[in-house]
Amino acid sequence: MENQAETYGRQAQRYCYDDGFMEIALGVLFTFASLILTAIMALNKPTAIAFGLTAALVLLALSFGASRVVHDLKERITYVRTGFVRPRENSTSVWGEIGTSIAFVLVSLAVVLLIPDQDTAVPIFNGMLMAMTVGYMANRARIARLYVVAALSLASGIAAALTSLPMGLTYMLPYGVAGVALLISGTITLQKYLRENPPEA
Amino acid sequence: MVTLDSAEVIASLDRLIHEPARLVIMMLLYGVESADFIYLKTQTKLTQGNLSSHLGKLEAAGYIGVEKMFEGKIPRTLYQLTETGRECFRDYITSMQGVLNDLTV
Repeated sequence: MENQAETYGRQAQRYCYDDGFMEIALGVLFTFASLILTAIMALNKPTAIAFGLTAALVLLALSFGASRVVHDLKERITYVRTGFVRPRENSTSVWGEIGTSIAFVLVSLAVVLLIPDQDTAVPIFNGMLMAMTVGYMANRARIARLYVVAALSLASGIAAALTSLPMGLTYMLPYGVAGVALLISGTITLQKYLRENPPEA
Repeated sequence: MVTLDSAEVIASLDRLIHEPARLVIMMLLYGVESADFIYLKTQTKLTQGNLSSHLGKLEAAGYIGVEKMFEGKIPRTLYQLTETGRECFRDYITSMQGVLNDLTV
């Protein structure tokens, strides 16, 4: 059974997700990435390569900008309402993380080897990648709604592989689903946070 | 029933930590690296004056340390348990666990 000090520690671990800003920022990034992927698939090869490289740089700049914006929003909105906390480093999860990474590599290899058809394997792989990324966040902070987003990403990857949608759409679907799901869950979380923590008079 | 040993342990409990509000503060800080005043106030549900007074006592006893820093242009004061504070809290919990294990109703 978790004692009260551990409960406080766990609360501190998940505190950065309490206001929803992180999820909204990630949602925007994933949705943007899915749109870029769709555009790349629709272009011819030389244009797609140039576009892809530019898009990767834009995405990198966007993720840097997003982390700054999230930090500023937390300073202005979150820390003045419910304060600031530094959680303790979670040292016990290192082996778990290594194990999960090895499991991911093995499952990815199995997908590639067992499903020779690229149009089927890639959406499943993308779904797994998204599920693992969001699942990692969910596991670190033990947030149920993020497990749901991770499951949705994986399910969308499998669903995309089974449908006869155009290739670009099946490839981007897991990113798009994860992005939109994070945007929705982040917005709901932010609304709830602001309602429950009005600014002090 | 409380045995004679338990009675001695109860008498020797660290009274600075034993006070409920300070116990909550110590427990909270034991679970995290550091926290600012607003976070402690939100989590403990203590009033500003009450929290400030208890933090002052814990700081005077050397159980908590105060770190003043700047995040960009924004000043931030963080509270954290000192090594002494951590050790005393662990001792207190061990003593209390012993007493509670002895206690039968």
